[in-house]
Parts: sequence; structure tokens; C-alpha cells
Amino acid sequence: VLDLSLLAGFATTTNKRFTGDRWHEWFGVGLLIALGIHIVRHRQWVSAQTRHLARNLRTRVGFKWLVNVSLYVLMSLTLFSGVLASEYLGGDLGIGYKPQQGWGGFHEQCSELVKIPVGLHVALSWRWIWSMLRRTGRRIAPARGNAGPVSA
Amino acid sequence: MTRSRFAVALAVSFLLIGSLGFVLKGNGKPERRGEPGSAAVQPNDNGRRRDRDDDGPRGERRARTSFDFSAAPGMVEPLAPMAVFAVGVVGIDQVRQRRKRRRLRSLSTSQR
Repeated sequence: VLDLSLLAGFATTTNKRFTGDRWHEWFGVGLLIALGIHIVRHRQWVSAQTRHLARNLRTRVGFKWLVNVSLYVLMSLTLFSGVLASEYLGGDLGIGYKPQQGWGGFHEQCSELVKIPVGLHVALSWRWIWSMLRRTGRRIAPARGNAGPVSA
Repeated sequence: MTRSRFAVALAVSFLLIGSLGFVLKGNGKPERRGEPGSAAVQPNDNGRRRDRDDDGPRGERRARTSFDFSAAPGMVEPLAPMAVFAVGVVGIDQVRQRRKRRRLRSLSTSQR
């Protein structure tokens, strides 16, 4: 659920015309927190693949690791520049912060670039996503069956 | 690595990578609204100021707090590269699996 909402959150945050400036910034903060949780949840994969990187570099797992690292770097740059370019966050949080010149343009460039590794990341994880969806569906189906009226 | 240590390492690396932005974007003065090149004056597709439909008549700041549902279909846009990549990856996976199965089949027949 978290991972799917991350994807939905990313799609929503990038659509600034839908959210408007203020919500775009707050959605970005939410995305930052959710991404942190997402990476911490998958820390075992990260540390295992980093340890065996030399062995797996030419395999699909190695490619996925490279995609994930580039995604992490670009996403960090996007979110960091987004926070520094924010116009409303400072005011909403009661901090007298004014956006610095150059960060807005840099943020937009990074956010355009980050769409590529995000797409690759989701595409490379399609098996995992599919199996999770099926597992969740299976879990929901018997729960619905049990919730029905009991006939004596 | 424990969860807390990993989280701290993640936060530190986020700040370090983010601070690379200072080098990559160059130094600048505080951004003022209406300054040429600032995001505030770039027009949108309709030629209007992008996301500035929330400005008051005297140019004062009034942030839009509601969602513009007419722009909701635009959310599909970042999903388009995902769909393209997903189709590519699934296709490659299918080809690989088919090759693997064929190799296994030929191996089993040669063993017989």
C-alpha cells in the first residue's frame, strides 16, 4: 500500500497544475518522508546488493542497483532543491525563509530527469509489484468471504 | 545494519547529495517574484502565468488551497515513461524465459 501510494503521490506531486504551489510543496514533504520509509523498509535488499555488487554488476540485479542509486541521487537532488526553492513551506512552518535564486530552475530540471529512473525502477520491479498485488487480492478475498452473513 | 543506523546514514547521504546542488546550480541571490528567469514568470501552456492564478489583483500572494480537478488527467503524464519501460522489461523477460525453456527442453531431449 505504501509503495503504491508512493507512486500515486509522485504522480500527484509532479502535476503542479492540479495541486497548486502550496499543496505541491507539502506533497513533496510527504513524498520525502514516504521515500525514507520505503528505503528503510528495503534496507536489507540495499545492503545485500551493495555487498555483492561486484559479483552482480552484469546481471539484472546489478542493473537494478544502478537504476536505484541514480534514482536516489536524482530524487535527493529534486527534493532538496524543492525544499530550498519552496515559497510557502517557510511561511507555513513559521520560519522566515525566502527561496534562493537558481533552485527553482534546478528543481524543475531534476524533476524532469527523475522521471526516467522512476519509470525504470517501477518497470524493473513489476514482478514484485504483481506478486504483492496478487497476495493482497488473495488476502482480501477470503476476508470478504468470511464477512458475509452466516447461514445456519 | 540496524534500522536506526540505516535511517541516519540515509538522512546524512540525503543531505550530502542534496548539498551537491549548491555546486551544480551555482550561487545566487534570494529569488524575487517577477524576476526574469524565475519560475514565477514562466507562462504555462495557455500563456498565463504558471500557477499564478492564485495571485490577487494587486499581485499579493494568495496560495491556492484547493485542487484543480480539471488538471487531474495530467497525473498520467509521469506514468507514461513507466508504461513504456514496463512493456520493454516485460517483453525482455518473456523472451528470456522462452529461451530458457527452449534450452531446457533441448537439454532434456538430448539427455534422453
